[in-house]
Amino acid sequence: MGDKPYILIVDDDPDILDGITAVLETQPYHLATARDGKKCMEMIAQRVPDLLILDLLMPRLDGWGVIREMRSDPQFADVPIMVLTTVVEDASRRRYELETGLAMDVQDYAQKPVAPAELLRRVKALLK
Amino acid sequence: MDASMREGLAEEIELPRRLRQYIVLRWIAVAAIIGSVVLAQQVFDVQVPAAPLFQVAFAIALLNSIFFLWANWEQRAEVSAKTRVRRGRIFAHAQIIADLVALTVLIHLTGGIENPFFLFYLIHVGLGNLLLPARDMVWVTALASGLFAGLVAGEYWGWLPHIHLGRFFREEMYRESAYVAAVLVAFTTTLGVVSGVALNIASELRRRRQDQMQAHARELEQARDQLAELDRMRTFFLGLASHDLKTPLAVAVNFVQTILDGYAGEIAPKQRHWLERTLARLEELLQLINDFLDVSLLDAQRIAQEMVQTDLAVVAQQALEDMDVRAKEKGVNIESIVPPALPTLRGSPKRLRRLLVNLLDNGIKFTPPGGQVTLIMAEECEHIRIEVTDTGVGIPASRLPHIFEDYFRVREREFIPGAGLGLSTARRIVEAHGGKIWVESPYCADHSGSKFSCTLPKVMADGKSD
Repeated sequence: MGDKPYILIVDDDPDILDGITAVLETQPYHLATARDGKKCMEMIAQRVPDLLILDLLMPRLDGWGVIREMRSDPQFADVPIMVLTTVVEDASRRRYELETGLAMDVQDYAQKPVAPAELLRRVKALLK
Repeated sequence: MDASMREGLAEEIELPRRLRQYIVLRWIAVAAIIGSVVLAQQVFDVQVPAAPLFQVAFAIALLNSIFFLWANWEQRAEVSAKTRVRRGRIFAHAQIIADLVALTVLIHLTGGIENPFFLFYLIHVGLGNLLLPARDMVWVTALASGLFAGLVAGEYWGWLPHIHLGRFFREEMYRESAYVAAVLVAFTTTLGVVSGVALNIASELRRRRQDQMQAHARELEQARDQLAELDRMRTFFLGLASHDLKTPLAVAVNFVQTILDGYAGEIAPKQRHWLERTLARLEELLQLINDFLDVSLLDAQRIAQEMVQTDLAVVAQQALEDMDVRAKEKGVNIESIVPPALPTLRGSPKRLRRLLVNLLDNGIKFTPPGGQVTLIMAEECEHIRIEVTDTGVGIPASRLPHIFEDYFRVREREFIPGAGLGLSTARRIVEAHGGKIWVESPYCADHSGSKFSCTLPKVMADGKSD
């Protein structure tokens, strides 16, 4: 396990994963990636991350689905989530509310692209 | 729609109109009765029982007045369509019965079977067909036949006195059995045939009207469904386009940023220079896509969903901050006059911010360095007024009417970045909030420049203010 914070990055686009990993690797984090929502849930079940960086538009189970499943499970309800997506925040929140009837409970929302320095800053803030 | 509903619909529209027409016809009939009596006596020297005839005319006039009041009362009554049709039918029956009885009395008073005007029964049956549905016509025809046959039989067998009009009919035919029988048979068959034919025509007309209305309704529904489908498709494609367009661009921007920030090793100054310029163009493209999508999805419905109580002073502050860098880069001074106690209004903060940003951006674009752009907000009776003035080059008069159109650029070949959507977006936002926007250029005698004004109602048209 170790002291290093464990960050799980979920996006179906391998370029995005590479881009984020390249930046976060420079910090003392333990990183893992997943290419869709189902894989993401499997990995979370194996080890609960200290931060989840989550894309929304993904096959098999999309980001909204992941949020819904996590927040309805007491084990994962407290995991900080940073949404990183092209979808505009308003539309995104509205869609979640329409689908679940609840407000979208995430700790940060960023629209791609996020500059490397900005990403590091926000991740650090969420890991506190 | 089933048959009875269809009929009901036609009746609801037709019935009151026709009933009112018949009331007018009855006034004419009253006048005609009085006129005929005078004519018969003075011109044709026929001895008619004037007094009873005038009494009948008076009675009809009285009844018609009652019908007139009844018709007005019906018009003002607020009842369901079904009740209205039912009451209309009762009204129609009352008029028909009254007419048939009055006609019978008049015929009796003017010679009975000897008076050719018994043909008027046909008129009533014909008119009745236009008023009432098929099944009611059977008893109307029966009533007409019955009344006339009853009158004729009554006079024949002596239960009723026969009133002979000298000069009208030479001999008294009312006791000639052959003649009476012949008249009755001819009368009833004609009545039946006329009734049947009128019935057919009336039904046919009704059916055709119904079919037309249904076809119309179907067309409207189809058009509405098509619109809904088109809207769905548009939203779907925009959503698709948004993701598919933005993602590769976002990746490219991100990679270049990553290189520039040193995550891929040292880079030479020349490399940095070109990479920065690459980044600028990529970011420009990304912004353009975002703007397009914003505008495409900009409609009243969507904005209505975003409406909350908004503090315009806060929105103004944000917009001014957004534009601060750009203004400084260009060397244009921005001033603002925003009263602290501006009332909140119902609106979309995001869109209103975009509105102010677009207006300010426009001002900065067209003002040379050293110029001034001013934002003024003021509260009025029913509106909040926003003005953005600049000391720039202004807009030629010929272009003024088009300034708020999509993709419109004042000078077509000049390279001023932006897709020409800024002002049309501003207009859409203002209109979605129920307001008005307009421009004056020039707006003062001292210098060139443009003044964009818009008013946003404090209370939306639907009456909501919170």
